Amino acid sequence: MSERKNRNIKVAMLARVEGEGGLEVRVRNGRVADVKFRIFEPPRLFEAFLRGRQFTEAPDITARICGICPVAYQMSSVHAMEAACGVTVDGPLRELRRLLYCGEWIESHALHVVMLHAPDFLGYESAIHMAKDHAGQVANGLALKKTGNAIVALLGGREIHPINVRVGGFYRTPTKRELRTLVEPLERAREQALALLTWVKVFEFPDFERDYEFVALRHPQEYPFNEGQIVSSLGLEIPAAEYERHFVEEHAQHSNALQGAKRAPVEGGPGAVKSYLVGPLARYSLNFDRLTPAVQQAARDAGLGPVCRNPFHGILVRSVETLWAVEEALRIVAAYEPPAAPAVQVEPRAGTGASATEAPRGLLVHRYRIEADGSIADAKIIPPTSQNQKSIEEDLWRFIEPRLELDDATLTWQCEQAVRNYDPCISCATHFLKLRRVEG
Amino acid sequence: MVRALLWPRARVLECAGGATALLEAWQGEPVVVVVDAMSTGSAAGTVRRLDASREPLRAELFRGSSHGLGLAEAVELARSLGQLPPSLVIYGIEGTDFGLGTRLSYPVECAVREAALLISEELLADRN
Repeated sequence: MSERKNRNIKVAMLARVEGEGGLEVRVRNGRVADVKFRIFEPPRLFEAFLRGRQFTEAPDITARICGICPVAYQMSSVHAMEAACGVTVDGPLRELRRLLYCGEWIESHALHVVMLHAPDFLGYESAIHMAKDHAGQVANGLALKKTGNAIVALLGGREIHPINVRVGGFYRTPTKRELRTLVEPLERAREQALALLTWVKVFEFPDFERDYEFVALRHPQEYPFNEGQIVSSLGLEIPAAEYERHFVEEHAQHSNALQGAKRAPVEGGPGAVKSYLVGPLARYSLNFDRLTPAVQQAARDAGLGPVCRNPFHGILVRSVETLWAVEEALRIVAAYEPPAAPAVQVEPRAGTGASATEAPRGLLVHRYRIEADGSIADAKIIPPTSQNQKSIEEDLWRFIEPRLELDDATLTWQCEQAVRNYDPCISCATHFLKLRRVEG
Repeated sequence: MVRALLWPRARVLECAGGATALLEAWQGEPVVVVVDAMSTGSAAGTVRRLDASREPLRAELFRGSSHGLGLAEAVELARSLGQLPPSLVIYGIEGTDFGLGTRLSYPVECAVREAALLISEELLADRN
C-alpha cells in the first residue's frame, strides 16, 4: 500500500487503559508533525484536600487515588510520613509491607498482561473476544490475580483500598498460621506465572527500541519495593528527598495530568527538560542483578537480556516480575515471625518527609510537610503515569514514521498498543491540577 | 436491606473488586442476582431487570469501572469462559449524578428500596 503523506490518526477514547485518555497524531508530508497523548479525565485535587488533614490519614486518603494500585499510595505515604517524623520501620513489619506490595504487583501485572495487553498481540478487540479462543490462559491470569488479591486482602483487610495500613505499620498483623494459608495458592501461582511467561514469550513483538534514561529505585540487596536510592541509567543516584531538585512537573495544554520531566541544564541550558522512563523496563534494567538466579534464567529463556529497551517487551518484563513477586512472597511467608507489636509508635513533628516506592507502573513519589500537631501543611504526589507521559509521546513520534505504509486501522491499533505498553493509570495521573481562570 | 430480608436463605455480598471478583464470588452458585448502577439516560431511579443467562449484557448500560472491566465485561467474560451461573439476573438502578459526593439522590434511594423488595420476592419465590 502506498504511503499517504498527510494523515490524522485520532483515538477519541483509548480502550483497555485505566481512566479516560485519547490520542491524536498528525502526519504532514510523510513526517510526524504532532503527537498528543490526551488526558481528559477530570483533575482530582488530592494534594489540595490532604492539607489540614492529620498525617495519620494520608494512607487512607491517598489509597483512593487508585483502585488497582492503592497499596503503592499507602506505602509511599507511610514511608514519607515516617521520614518526616524520623522513624524507620524494620523487621517483620518491613517484610509484611514487602509482602503486601508483592500482592499488588501480582494482581496488577496479571490483570494488565492478560486482560489489557495480550489481546493486542493476538489481534483481539478485547479480552472477552480473546477468552473464547484462549480460555485456559485467561483463566490462568485470573487465578494469578486472585492470589494477588488474596495477599492484599489478608494483610490489608480488603482487596480494594486496604484498611489495615497505618503510619508505623499495621492495625493488625497476621499470625503465622494465617499467613501460611497463602502458601498453597502461591505455590500454584508460581506455576501459573511460569505458564504466563511461556505464553507471552512467543508473541510477535514490533522491532522498536529507544535509548531511554531509565529511572527506578535501587537497593543494596533487594529488587526494590519501598526502599533504596533513586537511580538512573545515566548515573543519577539520589535519595527521595532530592527528587524535586532533579525532576519537575509541567502542565501541557492537552493534558489534565501534569507531565513529569527531568531537568537537563547540561544538555539544553537553564530550564531545559527531557523525558525519562519509569516502570517495569526501568526497574528491570536497573536491577536485573537483584532478581533471583531462577528468575534471571526465566527472563533469559523468554528472550530477555539484562537490559530491555523495547517497550513492547513490557508484557514480558511484567510477566517476569510477576514470577519474581510470587517467589518473594513465598520467601517472606516462609520466614515470617510475628512482630511484637503491629506498629511502631510515630509521634508527629514539624518537618518534611519524602519517599519513593515502586508501584506496579513505576516510581511513585510522595512528599509531605507536616506541622508540629501532625496536620498536613503541603503535599506533593508524583505518580508513574504522570512521569511517563513525555516518553509515551516520544515513543509514538519515533514509532509511527517507519510505519506510514500501514493503513489507518492497523497503524491506529499499533499506536494504541504502544500506549498500552505503559499500562497507563490515568486516574492516578490526574490526581492534581492547579486551575487558573483567565478572565476576558 | 436485602440481607435483612433474605437471611439466612441467601448469601449477600458487597463486591468492590471489579469484574474478576464477581467471577470468583458467584462460582458454584446456581442462582445469582447482581445489582449495579446504570447509566442509560433513563429517568433517575428507573429499575431494570435483565436476564443475563439468556442474552448478552450490553456494556453501554453500565458505567465502566476502573480499568474498564465493569459488570457487563464480567458477565461476558464469564460467558466466554463457561463460568456463567445457570441463572444470572441483573438489576440495574439508573443513577443521576456520578460525581463526587456521599448521598444518593432521592429517586435512587427509593429505587434501592424497590429493587431490594423485587429481588427478595424473586428469590423467595424461586426457593419455593
